[in-house]
Amino acid sequence: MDKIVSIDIGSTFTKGALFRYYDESLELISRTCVPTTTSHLADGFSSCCLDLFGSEEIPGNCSLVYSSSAKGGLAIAAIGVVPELTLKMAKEAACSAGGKIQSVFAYKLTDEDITLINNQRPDIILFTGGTDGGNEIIVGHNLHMIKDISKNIPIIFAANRSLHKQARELLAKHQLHIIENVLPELNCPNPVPAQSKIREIFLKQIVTGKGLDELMERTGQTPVPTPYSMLEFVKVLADYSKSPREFCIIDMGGATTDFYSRTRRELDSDSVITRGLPEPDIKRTVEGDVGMRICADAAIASDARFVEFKLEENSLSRDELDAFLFKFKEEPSYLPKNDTEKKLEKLLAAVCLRTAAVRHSGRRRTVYTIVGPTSVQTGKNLQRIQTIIGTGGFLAQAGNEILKDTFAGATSVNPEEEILLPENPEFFADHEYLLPLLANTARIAPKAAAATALNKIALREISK
Amino acid sequence: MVLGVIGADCHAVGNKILERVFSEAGFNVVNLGVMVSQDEYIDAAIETGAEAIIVSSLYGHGEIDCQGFRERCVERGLENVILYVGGNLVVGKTPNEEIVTKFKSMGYDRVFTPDTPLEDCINFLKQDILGRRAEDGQNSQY
Repeated sequence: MDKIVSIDIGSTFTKGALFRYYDESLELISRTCVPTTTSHLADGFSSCCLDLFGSEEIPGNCSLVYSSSAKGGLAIAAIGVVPELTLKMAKEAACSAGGKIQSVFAYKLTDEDITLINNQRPDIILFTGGTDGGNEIIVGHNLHMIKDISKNIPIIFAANRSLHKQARELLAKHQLHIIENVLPELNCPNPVPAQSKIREIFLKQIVTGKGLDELMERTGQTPVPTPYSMLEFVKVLADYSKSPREFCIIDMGGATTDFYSRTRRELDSDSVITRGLPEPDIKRTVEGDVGMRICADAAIASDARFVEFKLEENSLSRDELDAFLFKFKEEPSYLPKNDTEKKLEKLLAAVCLRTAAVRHSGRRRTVYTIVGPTSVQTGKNLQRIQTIIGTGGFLAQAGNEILKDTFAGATSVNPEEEILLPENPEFFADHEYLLPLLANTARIAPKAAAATALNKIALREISK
Repeated sequence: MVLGVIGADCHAVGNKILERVFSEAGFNVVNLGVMVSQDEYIDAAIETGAEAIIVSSLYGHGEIDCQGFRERCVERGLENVILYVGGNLVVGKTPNEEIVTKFKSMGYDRVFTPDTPLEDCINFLKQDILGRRAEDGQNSQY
């Protein structure tokens, strides 16, 4: 093998790149991008190959790796008991496996909840609740409730182990997958089995009918969900990079904003008391209501005060903003035409970045105790992060000015809490939008993929 | 059982001792550590199906921290949970009987002052859990 072809089938574009493979690095030979053929994904894939090789066939000396975003991530309904415990774990497992949370349900399910789930038709139901040997009353009730859910929706049971038998009996006619508990003991999160199962279901059930099954047969290779592939790549980058040791990657699309962070807990101060479930060093969150096109309205609404401040700073009016947003409704692929619209798009990107970061970050408050003031932290501390890598559409073209004031003055709903946002970050753009493609290559050439991403593309400036 | 030190209290040593002693006595201890809020105890108890919540307070502000705990348990569906409190519950020299009466009136099933031997706590807890199970018609697991 001396060449690797990587293809990423996104919701809007299918991107491909051909690399020459050396032990230490990958050299980009050519790159292409064609509109995704949503009714039959294999067509876009073939056009990519045609661009890269002049033929639809992949040459023998070339390894193929590919990923598919599956309409911007799988819609997952998460069910748990306590919002801060099993439900939080369910949400984290879903996000880290490439899913997007469609709805969440805590405590006892109601008839209305079941109707809602049946109407929303999620791709997967992630059923959690109770530690092993723990709560059976609420979880048992919920098991009885979900037997009225459509039998076509796969149900992943990652709840209290004591209820396995009951689950098998009650859900005998459903597509039931029983796996290890996401929270077998309090303070011992266990998201990996749920992640793997989500990924497996993605491959088995959801790719069929859209041409991906045909691709699998033709190439002998299975695709990987793009968000999952990206999260794995963040791990690879973390393993191989000495600098930056802590970083964020933000992928902003039309409908969602994905936020990845890599932090190192051992660098957190000893004197801070942490509450809540332990946070993973590598974490992904997906904001399904924050995006640059389809979700632009919701993004703008997510932080009204910041929008006002930015409008004033750029001498723009609310009317101009509304008119700009209206254009996306008529034409989601609309691109800004003049200076005002360019400024407005930048404003929109800043709001998306800020909202996604605020939601990803932890919180800290000071509690006065008899031994003096003590800091209490929940969630992840991103303050030390100095490197923010932007990828996808707008961010791939953006410069460091996108971060100007973006994290300033963010306040929590609770005024006593401080949001642990990056304090002094620098922005690096993935100019050629290669990260999802390099993420694929990392599965066969991790070291080379990481080195290429860090040195040649995203972090060009840092490597100097 | 769920264990923790309530409020803004960061006395960690006694908490570790209690965790060890109760575990060795055969209890399944979910220890939340220090600076635990009322809701955190209740969250943990719901999720783990705990039968008892054991609250410690060492720094003298226990009365404020512990108020309304029973009511909150009831509100969140834990009507029958066994609720204990112990430690240096008030500042100053208050007779033990007064402290016990005060906290029992707040809905705690048992109140332990600093002079209580831990063996007593263990025995009381076993007895109370068995009693509560008998009331609920459950089979004893001991």
